[in-house]
Amino acid sequence: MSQLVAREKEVTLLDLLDRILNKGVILWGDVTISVADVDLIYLGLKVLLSSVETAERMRKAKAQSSMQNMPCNI
Amino acid sequence: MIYLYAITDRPERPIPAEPGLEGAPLINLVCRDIAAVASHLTMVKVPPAEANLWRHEAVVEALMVDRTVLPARFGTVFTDEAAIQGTLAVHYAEFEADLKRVCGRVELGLRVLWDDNDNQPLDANHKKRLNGQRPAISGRAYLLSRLEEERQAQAQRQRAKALAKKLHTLLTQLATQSTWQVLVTPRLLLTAAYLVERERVTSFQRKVEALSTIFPELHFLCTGPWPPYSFVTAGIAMIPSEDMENARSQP
Amino acid sequence: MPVANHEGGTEQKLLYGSNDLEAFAAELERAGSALPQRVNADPDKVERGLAKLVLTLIELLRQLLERQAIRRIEAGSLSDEEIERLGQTFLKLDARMGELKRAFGLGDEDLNLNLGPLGDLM
Repeated sequence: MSQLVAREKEVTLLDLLDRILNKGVILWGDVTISVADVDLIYLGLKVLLSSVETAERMRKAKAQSSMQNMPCNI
Repeated sequence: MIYLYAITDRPERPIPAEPGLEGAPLINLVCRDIAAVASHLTMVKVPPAEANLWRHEAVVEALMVDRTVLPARFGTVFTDEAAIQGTLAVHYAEFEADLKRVCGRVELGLRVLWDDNDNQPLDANHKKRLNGQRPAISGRAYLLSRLEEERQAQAQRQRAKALAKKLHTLLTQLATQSTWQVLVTPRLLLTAAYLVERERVTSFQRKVEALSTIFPELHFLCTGPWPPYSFVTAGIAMIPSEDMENARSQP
Repeated sequence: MPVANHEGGTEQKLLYGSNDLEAFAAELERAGSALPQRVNADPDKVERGLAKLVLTLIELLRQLLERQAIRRIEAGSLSDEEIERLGQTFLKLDARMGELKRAFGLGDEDLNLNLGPLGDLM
């Protein structure tokens, strides 16, 4: 297999991985199996980070609209 | 155990001959106007080995030929058919809405690399400084240097966002929906996905080629057509994006 | 629309970008490194995966707290003494993290949570 084709395969696989492992319809079946329980925790962590990011964006938007100088808080 | 590949419309269509994982035949579980395509599984765990990933993808793409598809995340397994039927009933409205939204459309992926001058990950400098000076550095000096690094990082992030937005705005015109992220890694200026009508894929491709001529200092990668992994909202949706509203908006 | 051929699945998937594949492969590996090694999964590595998870969480908290401290310095709401004390604490934390990482054979790249998109958090 030529180097170019091998590289194409690699990049395409990586692109597929990003979609097929992180996206699509995500359901909790009766049992959702992944490689190890650690993966489920990572899934939860990413959801948490997205939520925190969203909350922070909402906070900023609110702060801008009310034109107040909000104190820093976690 | 039953392994789920996708939720589809047109439940009356015959199941494709494409084999599923472990070479198992596909089964079609119908709930009113939608279906779940799955196969029986003897494995207890489904390792994400290359062969299994491509098999899952092959099934989804075979389905995409003649029906609308919401691809399932890899590794979604149920105890039995009744469990899947239950899920179809519970999420019916969401699935129906998603199917309507992605009908006739495919996902195209885009990544753009840049070589910003101060592109070096800033923590690398920070680590080097720490390793050399840890005994001597004062707490105050440390935080002040971190402050300076954060300022530079923020400036770089502003530059990236402005440039990425320019590119994204030009491409999103060809799509009904899109998601985009800036600086997933320091070199990855833009990571984006576009939901595009099948007939517009070639135009999109040409647009990317054009952009690479206008911005020769950037590197473009465009892949697809993919099933609409990034545009599914049913179930637990995670679409981190610079513009969450855009990702959720109707065309 | 024709279906992709699935020996390798690469048919028709690369619409543009044959020139820079090596660079993209490197960055995509990096972008995906926040997850445990997926393709070469090995159940025996679960313990290492847990260590990586725990340290990643600690690292996340450490970075968030550090950024909060920096914001407070910018806002001028910390005394010199507080700045010095906080700085020393963060330095100690960083040193401790270094020891833990070495103990588990994890490098900086392993704990990369890809905070890029969250760079403006706090």
